[in-house]
Amino acid sequence: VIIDFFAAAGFYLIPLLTGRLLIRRWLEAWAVGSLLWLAAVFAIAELTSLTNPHLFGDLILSLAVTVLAISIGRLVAFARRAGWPEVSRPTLFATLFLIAFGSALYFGLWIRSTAYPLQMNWDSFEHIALATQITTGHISFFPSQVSDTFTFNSYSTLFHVLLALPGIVFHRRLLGMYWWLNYWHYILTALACFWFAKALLKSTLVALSAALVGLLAFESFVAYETLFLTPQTLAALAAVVAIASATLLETPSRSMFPILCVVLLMHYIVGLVACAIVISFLLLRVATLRRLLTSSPVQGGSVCLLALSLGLHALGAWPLTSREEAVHLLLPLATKAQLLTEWYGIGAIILFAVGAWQMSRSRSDVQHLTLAISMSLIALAMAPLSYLLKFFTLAHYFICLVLACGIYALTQWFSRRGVLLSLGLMTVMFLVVFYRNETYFKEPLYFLGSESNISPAEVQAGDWLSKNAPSGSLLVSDPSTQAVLEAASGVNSQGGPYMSLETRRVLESINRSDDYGAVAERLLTIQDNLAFERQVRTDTLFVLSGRYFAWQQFPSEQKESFYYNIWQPVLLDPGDQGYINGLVDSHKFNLLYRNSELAILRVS
Amino acid sequence: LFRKSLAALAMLITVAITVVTAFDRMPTDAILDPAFRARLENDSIAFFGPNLTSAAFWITPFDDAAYSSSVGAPLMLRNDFTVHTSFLGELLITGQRLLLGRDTIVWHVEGGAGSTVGDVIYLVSRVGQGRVRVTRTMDQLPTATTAIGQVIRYCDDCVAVAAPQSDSRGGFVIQDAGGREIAIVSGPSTSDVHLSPSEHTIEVRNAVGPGRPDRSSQEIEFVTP
Repeated sequence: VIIDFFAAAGFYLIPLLTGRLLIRRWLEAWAVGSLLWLAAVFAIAELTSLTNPHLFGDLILSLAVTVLAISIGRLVAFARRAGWPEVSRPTLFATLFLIAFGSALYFGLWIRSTAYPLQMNWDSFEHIALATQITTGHISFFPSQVSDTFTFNSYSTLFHVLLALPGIVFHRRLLGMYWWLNYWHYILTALACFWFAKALLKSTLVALSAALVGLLAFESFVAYETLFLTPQTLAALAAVVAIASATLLETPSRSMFPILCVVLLMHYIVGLVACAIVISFLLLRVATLRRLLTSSPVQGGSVCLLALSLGLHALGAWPLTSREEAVHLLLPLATKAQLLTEWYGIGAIILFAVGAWQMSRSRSDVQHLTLAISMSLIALAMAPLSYLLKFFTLAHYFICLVLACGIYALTQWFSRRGVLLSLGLMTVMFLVVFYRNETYFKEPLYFLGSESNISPAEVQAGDWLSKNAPSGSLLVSDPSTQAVLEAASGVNSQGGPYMSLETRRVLESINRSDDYGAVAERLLTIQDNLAFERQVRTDTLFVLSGRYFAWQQFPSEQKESFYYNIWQPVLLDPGDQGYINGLVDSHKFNLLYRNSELAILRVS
Repeated sequence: LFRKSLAALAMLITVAITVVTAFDRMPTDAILDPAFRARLENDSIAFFGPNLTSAAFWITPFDDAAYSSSVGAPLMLRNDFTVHTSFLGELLITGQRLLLGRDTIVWHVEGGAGSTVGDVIYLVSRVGQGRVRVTRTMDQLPTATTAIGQVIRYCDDCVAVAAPQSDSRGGFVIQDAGGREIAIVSGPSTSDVHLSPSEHTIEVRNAVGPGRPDRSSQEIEFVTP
């Protein structure tokens, strides 16, 4: 657990310390370091593919250790020479308070029933599966060319390279590391929210309010800000820190280039909008553009955009892609509005209105632009197209800022004691909203005392597989079992949770079949979509889990859909155990491993 | 002073409506235990085993019955009832859950004109690892009532069999569709336990009468996996 804690910190620190060799500014250093490592991984993978692929991990490790040693040495020498940067007492107090409060919320409430290394974010499994492939030297710019777990390239593999690096350096599997990564991300979002609000509003108390709201507002559907680390949430975080850095530290515009590159590579859609927002703040530095960006037509335009977005719901709804799951993510306006009240609380409407009014009356151009962007982001996210809720990853920070302004507007006439009392009251209010929201999110994941998408028994099976599965093995099971076991073990499967239609139909055709020979033959026809995986294919490992049998009970159309899955672990029942015994007794399958939730059989 | 008062009022209203609506939507409708899950549904309290694939059995006021001599009448008629929720009740249950770790579901149902009783409050409490107590408190129970029948309706694919004689608790064992033992249903020594395989019900019948409260309880023990 402790090693994974530091390995997770390495996700941020390795690129940061690498970049510090060239650049002093922290955010720019992190961005440059990330891009350098992306290039280095490509170069080393290419080099070792021509010589000895097994050297990939060793070369990465050697390079990382060398770079980190030099960087840390230089950092210590610099600190001894120049001293540590000075931080004002209120900022230091607010930072420490946010870390303490955020940690208490995270461990005391959020993951109180999700022990290490269990996970509550379904997407984390596919990111882990891809990063695991990278640790073995398989790299491409496109995720779908590294793992067929990805069927759509909405981002580059930069996120996964950063995830793979500490895995290689600390020689750790990624599931436990990811458990800590979510914690680091949560704390960093609170600090980013604080810094962002402080940069834009110049008030420590308002910034603290914004960060507190940020800790307690969880966009628990599609966006997953702030409690899960994903490419989209990291892109939003980096963009917000970039805005704060540009505004507070007056970072030169050219320094933003590597940061914008990273934001864009992290997630093309969210990144594109994030880059546009960062650039719009940079444009405030140009007097003529400043007048334009903060003019009344722009302010009014954002309100019209919101009205247009809401009005479009009357005309229909449009899936953005031809992916089948896109249709399921087309949400009516009422549902989106309900989600907002569940994430922020119904009183947030009042606070947002008061905050927006306060900001519109301000003489600060930055506040006018912030308000216009807030309204535009909400307009974008509320539009009747699938996946657009993802923009709440960015909107989160802006909404928290406007809400904090609303709290400030209501408390500005109070005495100091009154302000503190009001802040306490607001914190309790948002705490109730958060408790309701997180309980509602976690309850369906409950299984045998844990709230998780993966059970301890599945983690144990993953451990066993990683140590004992022959190299080149292919796991075959239902989509959800494949997703969790591929992430927990590093053993490849066809498509993980996004298995192909052909594989789904093969599995459907063998449902409870007692023609064991035919079952074995059909399973051997399943092939990975990627050529390099097919070339190294050795054994076929058929995993019969409680999830598998539950999935087989779905109607055909649901089995052929990406949208329907068994989201939580399932125990094998006596009927399932009897079927497994039949397969084993047929001598067409060898039993390799068995626990209360699954059995792993090798197809003879 | 006017601005200050107005701001304070706006703040209090904001906090009040947010907290009330959050508690109103609070998920206090389920009890989670490694051996089972109990959940309020539209017209019943559903009980699941450790797997959430399908409910193993249900309790409803449409199956529970009030007996006058040996003739039973359902407490309420299906599709003729109103469910009541209370903000204070939700607040109390959430507080208990957070502070005391006590898990409770309260289901307050008011019957329509044709009902045998006025109101029934079902209180489902976790009374230990894998054990729940279901208490029914009835209002306006007919004076001629001699017994209350507490009915468990198990799923179509499930079976109920008599508990092995070695099991001192007696009663019946409910097995799910896959053959896993989910729960043992038994009654106090003073009650009668009836199994009706054709109806898929187990009924525990307890006598009531003058001097006894209009309340009956039963404990269900789930089989820990």
